[in-house]
Amino acid sequence: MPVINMPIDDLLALVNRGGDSVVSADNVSAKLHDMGIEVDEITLTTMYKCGVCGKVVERTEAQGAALNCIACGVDFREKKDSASTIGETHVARLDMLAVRPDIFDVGGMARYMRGFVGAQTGLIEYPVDPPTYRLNVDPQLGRDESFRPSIACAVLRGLRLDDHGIKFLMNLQEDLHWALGRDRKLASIGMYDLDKLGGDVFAYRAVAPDGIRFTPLGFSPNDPGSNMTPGEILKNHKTGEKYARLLQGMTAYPLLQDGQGTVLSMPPIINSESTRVTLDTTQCFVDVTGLAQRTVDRALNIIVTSIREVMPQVRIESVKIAGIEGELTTPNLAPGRMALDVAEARDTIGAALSAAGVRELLERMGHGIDTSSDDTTLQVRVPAWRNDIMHPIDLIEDIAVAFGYENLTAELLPTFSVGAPRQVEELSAIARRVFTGLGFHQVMTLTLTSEPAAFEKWRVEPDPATVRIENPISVEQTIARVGLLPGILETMAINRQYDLPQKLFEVGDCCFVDADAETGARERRHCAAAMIGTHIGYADIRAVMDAFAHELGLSVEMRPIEHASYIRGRVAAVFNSGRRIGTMGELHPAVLENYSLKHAVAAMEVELPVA
Amino acid sequence: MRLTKLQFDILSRLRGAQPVDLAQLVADLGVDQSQVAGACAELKAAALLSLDETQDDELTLGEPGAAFVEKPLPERVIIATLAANGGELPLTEIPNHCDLTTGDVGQSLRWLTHRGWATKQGASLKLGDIGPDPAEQPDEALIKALAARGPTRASALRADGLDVAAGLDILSKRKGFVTVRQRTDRTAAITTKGETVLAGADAPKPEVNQLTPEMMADGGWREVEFRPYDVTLAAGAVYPGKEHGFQRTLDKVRRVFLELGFTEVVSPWVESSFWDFDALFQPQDHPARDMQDTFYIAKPDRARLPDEGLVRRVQAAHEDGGDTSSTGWRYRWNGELAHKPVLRTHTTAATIRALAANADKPTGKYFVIGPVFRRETVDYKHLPMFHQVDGIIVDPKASLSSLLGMLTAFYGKMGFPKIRFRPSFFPYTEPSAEVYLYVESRREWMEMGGSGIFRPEVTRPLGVQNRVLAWGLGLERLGMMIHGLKSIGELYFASMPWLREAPLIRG
Repeated sequence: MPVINMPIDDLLALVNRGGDSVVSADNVSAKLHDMGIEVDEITLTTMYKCGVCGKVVERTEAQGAALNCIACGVDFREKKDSASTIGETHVARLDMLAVRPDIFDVGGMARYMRGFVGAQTGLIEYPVDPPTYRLNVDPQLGRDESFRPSIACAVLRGLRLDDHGIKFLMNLQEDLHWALGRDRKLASIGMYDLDKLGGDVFAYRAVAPDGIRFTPLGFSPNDPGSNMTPGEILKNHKTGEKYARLLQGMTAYPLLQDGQGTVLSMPPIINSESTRVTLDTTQCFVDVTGLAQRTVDRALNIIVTSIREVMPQVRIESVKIAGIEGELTTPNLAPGRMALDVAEARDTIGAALSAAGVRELLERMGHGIDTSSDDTTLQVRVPAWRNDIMHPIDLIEDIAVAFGYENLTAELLPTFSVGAPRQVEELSAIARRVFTGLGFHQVMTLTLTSEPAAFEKWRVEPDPATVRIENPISVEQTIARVGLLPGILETMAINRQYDLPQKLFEVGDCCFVDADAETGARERRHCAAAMIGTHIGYADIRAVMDAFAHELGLSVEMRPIEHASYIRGRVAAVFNSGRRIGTMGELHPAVLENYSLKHAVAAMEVELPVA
Repeated sequence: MRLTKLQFDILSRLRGAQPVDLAQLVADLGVDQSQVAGACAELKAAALLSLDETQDDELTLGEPGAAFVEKPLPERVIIATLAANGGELPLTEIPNHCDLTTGDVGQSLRWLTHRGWATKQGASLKLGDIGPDPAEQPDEALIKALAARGPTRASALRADGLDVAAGLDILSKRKGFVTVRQRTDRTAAITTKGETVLAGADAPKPEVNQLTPEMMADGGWREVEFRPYDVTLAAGAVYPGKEHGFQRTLDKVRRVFLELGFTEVVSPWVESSFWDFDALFQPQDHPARDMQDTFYIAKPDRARLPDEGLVRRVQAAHEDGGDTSSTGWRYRWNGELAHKPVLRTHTTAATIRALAANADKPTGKYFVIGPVFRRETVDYKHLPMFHQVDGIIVDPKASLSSLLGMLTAFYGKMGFPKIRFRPSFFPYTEPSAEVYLYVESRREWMEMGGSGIFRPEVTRPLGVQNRVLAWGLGLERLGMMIHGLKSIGELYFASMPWLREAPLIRG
C-alpha cells in the first residue's frame, strides 16, 4: 500500500477553514483511521528549499539536514547557498489505498475529511470557464512508433504561490505520477507558467529524436550544452536516462509546444526550463499525457480540483483539444451518474440501512443524490475525480466505509454445509504418519530449483518434462521441482555437524509438463525418504519402503535397474500393480560427494498412488 | 523405613560389633564399593548408622626393601663376619670375608653404630656386646610383615604387635625401602535406632536391576526386590519422528476449514494468466502482471482457455463491463495474453476455478491451501515461493457482516480471538477488508490477510448470481510467529535440532 506524507498542519487548516473546528490535532489520527487510512506516525519536519529548482524537501530530525535536492539532484553540500530552511511542519505518514489518488494530496484529503465528518457533505461542484486555448494532437502519436495518444489539458488562473504552494504542486504531481501514472508510464503531468507561453493554439506532436532542441528542466539556458535534442536528453540528462525506457523502441518522441513553437515538455520525460512554474507564476497551463483517455482525464480532474481546494481563488479554464479520436474539452468535471439499488446496498453490507441512511452516508463520501431518487433507487452523482467508481458495488463500499466497519454486527451465515477434504491430502497425512512412526523427521523444501541441483548433482540428464521459468530471479530457481530427494539431501548437507543417523522425509508436490493438462503441466504428489549414518545400507531403506507400501495398501515389486544416482546392484525400480511409481536404493558416493556428505545414504522416492 | 537388602545386610554385619572399616564391610559383603557407600549414606541419613573417619598411614614395601625379605640386612652379615674373624677386622678386609662390596660395608656403618652392634676403632670395626646373632629388629620385622601382607595400615601392623614407629625410624631413612601414604579410613557403626529398626525388619529379598523373561517364566520375580533408581535423574535424549512444524500449522488451517464445513479444492501451479488474473478482473496492465513480479513460464508456453463464452464474458467485463453493470477498465483486452502460463501468484486462482466449476449451485464453501510464487528476491522474510490459504463462500445471504462473522470464527479457531477490520482494496473484491489480529506473544495488532466480496465483474461472467465472500492469507508469517523463527529460511532449510526438538504443542 502506498505511504503518503501528509502535511497535517496544512490539512487541519483546510479542514477547519471558515471558522469550522471539526477536526483537531488530537483527534485527526482517529478520524483518519475511521476513514480507512492508517496513520503510521506524525513527525515534526524541517522544510528545506532548493535554491536551484525551488523544490521543498522535508526532513525529520532523525533524517538530518537534506544533502541534495530530490527533484533536480543538486548537491547542497557542494553549493552551500543552494538550500535554505523555510520552517517546520508536522507530517503524517499515511498508509493509503492505491485506488484513492484523489486523497493523496492535502486538498483532496481535506475535501474527503470535511465530507466524512459532516462539515460539507454532498457533491462539490467547481465552475469551469470556457476555453480560450486550443490544442491539436498529431495523429502520429496514435501509432506504435510514437505511441502516447491521450492528453488532457487545463488552464489555471489566479494562482498565488509561496514556497508551500510550490511544494504542494510538486507533491501533487509526484503522487499522481506514482499512483495513477505507474511512474509516468500511464500518465505524466506537466505544469507551465502561462505568461511564458505564446499563441493560443498549442501542439502535441511527435518529433524525431534529433528534430528539435530545448533546455530541459534543471539546466540554465546559459550553460554550454544545455540546449539538447530529445535523443541527447535520454542519454545525457539524469531524468532523461531514468525514464528513457518509457520511449524505448520509438522512432519519434511526444512533444508539447505552444503557439509559437516554444517547447513546454517532452512527455513523459521532462519539462523545459524556460516554462518553469516559479513563485511569480499567477496562471499556468496543465497537461496530462498518457496511454488511455480515462486515466489522463482522472489525473487532470484530481489536479485541478485539489488545487481549487487549496487555493479557492483559482479559476479553472478548460482547453479544447482536437484529439486523435475527435474533439474534446478538458477538464470535464461533470459528475458520473450511477443508479444504486438501496436494497442491494443494505443486503450487501448486511446492516439495516434506510434509503435516507444510505443517502446520508453517500453524501458524507462526497457523492451527490439526484432529486429523481426514490426509496428503492438512488440516482447518484459521482465526483469526476474519483478514479475507482466503476460499478454500484463501489458506491456500496463507500457506504460501508462511511457506516464504519466497526459498527457492523459480525454474524455467521445459517447455511448448513459438510466439510469435504481432498483424497490426496488425506492420503498424504497417512503417509506422513507412517514415516514419523518410523522415526523420520519431515522436511519442507523449496518447490523451485535449478538443473544443476536437480539433475547434475544426481548424475542424470534433465527430465524432459521439466517446467521452466521464463524470467527467473536467480540461478538457483529456474525450474519447478520434479523430485523431492534433492531437497532432502540439501537438508542433510546443512546438517552435517549433527548426530547420526538422520532420517528425513518429505511429502509434497512435484510439477511436470503434460500436454494433456489444461495449462500444460500438472502436479504429482511424491513421497521421499532418506537416511544417513555409519551403518546405513540398502536393507534399511528397503525395510522402510516395505513398511510404507504395507501401510498404504500398495502391492509393490522391486525390479533391479541401472541408475547413475545409485550404487550399481543396490538400486531398484518400485512398481505398484505393474506401474512404475519410483526408485529406491543406496546413493552413489559421487552423489554424496556433491553434497559433501561423509556417510552412506539410502533413499526412496515414489509417487503417491491416488485411487 | 523399609530396608533394602543391602541396607539390611550392612546393619546385620554391624550389629553387636565394633565399628567396621568400610573397606572391610565391602570385603565382607562382597558387593560393589560404590553401592555399599551409597547404602551407608542412606542409612546415615536415616540415623541408623554412624560413619566415622580416621586418618592412618598405609605402608608399602619398596623394591630395595623387598630385597631383604629372604636375605639378611648387610649389617647383620657384617657382625656375623666379625664374629667369625675374632670380633674385629679392618674395614677394608671385610669384603674379603663375605659377599658384600666395599660400598655395602660403608653404607652399613651408620646402622651398625645406630643399633650398637659394632663400633669403629680407627680403621677397624669391632663387634659390640650384642653378639653375633642379635634378635630380630623392628625394621626387619616390618619388612617381613609388609612382604607378606602387601600395603598395610599402620594400625593393622600395630595390632599385630609390630613396633611400627621404631621400624619406620630406620626404614624411612633407607631410600626406597618403604613408602608411607596417609589414608582416610571410614568406619561404620550401627546406632541404637539402627538396632531397633533391624530387630523389627524381615530379611529382605535379593535385589535385581532388570526384570528378565526368566523371572517371568519361573515366577522368580516374586523372590527379588527391584533396585530403586534415582528417578530425578535424566536419561539420554530421544526424539520422536515428527511432522515439520510448518506442516502442523498448515494442518491446523486445513482442519479449521473442514470443521467449518468447507470443501477442499486445488489448482495447478502452472496457471493460465486467464485464471490467475483475467478471471479476477485484474486489468492486463496491472503491475502484478509485470514480468517484474510474476514468474512466466517458458515451458509449457501456452495454456488452453476455458469455453469461448466464458472468455468472451470476461473480456467484456474488462473492456466495458459487459452485462455486469460496470464501466469496465475501458481498454482493449488481449486474448493472447490470457493464454500465457504463469506460476500461480495466489491461491485465489483455485477458488475462482472452484467458483466457475460450481456456478450452477446457489451455495458453496471452498478452500485451498498451497504454494504460490512471486518473483521476490530472497531475504529473511521473502522466498520466491510461499504458502497461501484462500476460502470462499457462495451464499444468497452473504454480506459484509457475514464476512466479518466468518473471519471472526475462522481466526478465533486459529487461536486469535481479538480481531479488527479495516477498509482495504483488492482488484477483485468490493467491499474489501483487511484483517488485523491481536498477537498476544507480540502484544500488537498485526495485519494478517485480505478479504472481501467478489466484484460482480468477477462473479457475473462465471454465471454466479449470488454474492461470494472471499479471504486469504499468507501462511509462512503465521508459521514463523508460532515457532518463534526470525527467518523464513529456517522453515525451508531446517536444522536437525529444530526438526528434532521443536515441540508439537506449539502447533
